[in-house]
Amino acid sequence: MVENRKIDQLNEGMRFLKEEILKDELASSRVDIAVITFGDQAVKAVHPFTSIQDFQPPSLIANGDTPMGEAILQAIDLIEMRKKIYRDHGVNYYRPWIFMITDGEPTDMKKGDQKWLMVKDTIADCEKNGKLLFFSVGVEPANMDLLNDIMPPSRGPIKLRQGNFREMFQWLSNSQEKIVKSDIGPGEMVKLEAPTGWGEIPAK
Amino acid sequence: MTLSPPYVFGTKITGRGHRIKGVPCQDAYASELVIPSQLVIAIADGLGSAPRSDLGAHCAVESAVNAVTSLMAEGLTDSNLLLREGIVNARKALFEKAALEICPVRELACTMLLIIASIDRIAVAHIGDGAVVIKGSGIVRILSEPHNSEYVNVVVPLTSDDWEEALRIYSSIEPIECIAAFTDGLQNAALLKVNNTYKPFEAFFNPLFSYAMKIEDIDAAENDIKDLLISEKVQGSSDDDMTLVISVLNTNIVTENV
Repeated sequence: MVENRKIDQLNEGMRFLKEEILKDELASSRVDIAVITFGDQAVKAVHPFTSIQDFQPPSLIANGDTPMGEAILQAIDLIEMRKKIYRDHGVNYYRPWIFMITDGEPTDMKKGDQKWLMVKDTIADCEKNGKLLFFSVGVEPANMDLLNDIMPPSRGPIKLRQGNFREMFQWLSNSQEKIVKSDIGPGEMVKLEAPTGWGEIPAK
Repeated sequence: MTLSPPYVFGTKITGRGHRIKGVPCQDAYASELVIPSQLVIAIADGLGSAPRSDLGAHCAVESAVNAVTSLMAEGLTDSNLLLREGIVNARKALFEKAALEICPVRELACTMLLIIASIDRIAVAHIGDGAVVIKGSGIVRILSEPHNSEYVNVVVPLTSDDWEEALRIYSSIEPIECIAAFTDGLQNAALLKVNNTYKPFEAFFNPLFSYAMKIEDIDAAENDIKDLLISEKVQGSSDDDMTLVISVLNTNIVTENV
């Protein structure tokens, strides 16, 4: 369970993210965002996909369990539904990101069980087939070993330096601004800043 | 007095995003009139992720046009073959340029649109985004549309190993009045996407082609096109570089659309 101070920093960080993206004219017209929470044995889409202008940063409350597996699957479904809406309306789009932040460890699956393997394979397939990019950030005392195991082979989890939520959201905003201004070849990735200002990448 | 076709005019402008960051315009175009009445046009858009793509785009368009016109002078007439040779030579020139500049060829990565047109036919070779819209038989239609990639920022460049799979060649035999070829910076202003299919935006092309068929001076027309591209409405559609090249082959066909 995320402590109150951390959840306050997370909430403040989401408001900051909106402010930062809105500062960039192009990014503000191209970034859409949705928020899913997982806690208290429930996965909730607390904010549907909207433009960043219409994004109302939610005030999250720390509580309960950590149904991470279900949350990841729902996030992937939500993205696929959103893509379909874009396609149906002739809207061009960029490769979506899932940016998962947790201070816990999953309570709806255990490493190696059927659900764990299904979630892990789903993430790996999505990454391999270019459907999305999956990032995870562990906030102390998150179980980084478990996060490391579920991540795709090409990208490990990032451990947040204590209290550096604002810096993390600054990086997230900068990254989105870079992406909407990029042209890349197939299989290439947009070059992002290293997350060293706010996070550590644990050795595998 | 209005100009007699065939003629070509166009312009390119640096995108807002590039101006802010001090990045040069990464688009390039070249054209040549092959006596008596064939036009060869090339447009390239350097990839934003390729640090020297402005150099690559210039190298590619010059090489493609030179290759096609040289082969025409040698008597080759098959459009598809000419286009393919133009693309192959542009690619070869990029690899040679990379060797000369001592940099990986991906740093020169760019798209390519290569067109051979005359009064009664047009053929296009296309790798990447951007598009070619024609007015033929009085109807404005898209001849070559942007590549089909799921993500708008992903494009197969001319330098890719997969260039042959990405190469599309289109041709049409019909009375050709006007051709507009442009880079992806102009796509939002010039094309509509309906049910995943691109269509030319008629409110953009009808006045544009109508104007193009009545110009008296190439320099003045290029200034007018520049004014169009830097207009608030067009600039509001993208902050990318923009290139628009217009060719007029025939001004004698009178239609209701003009």
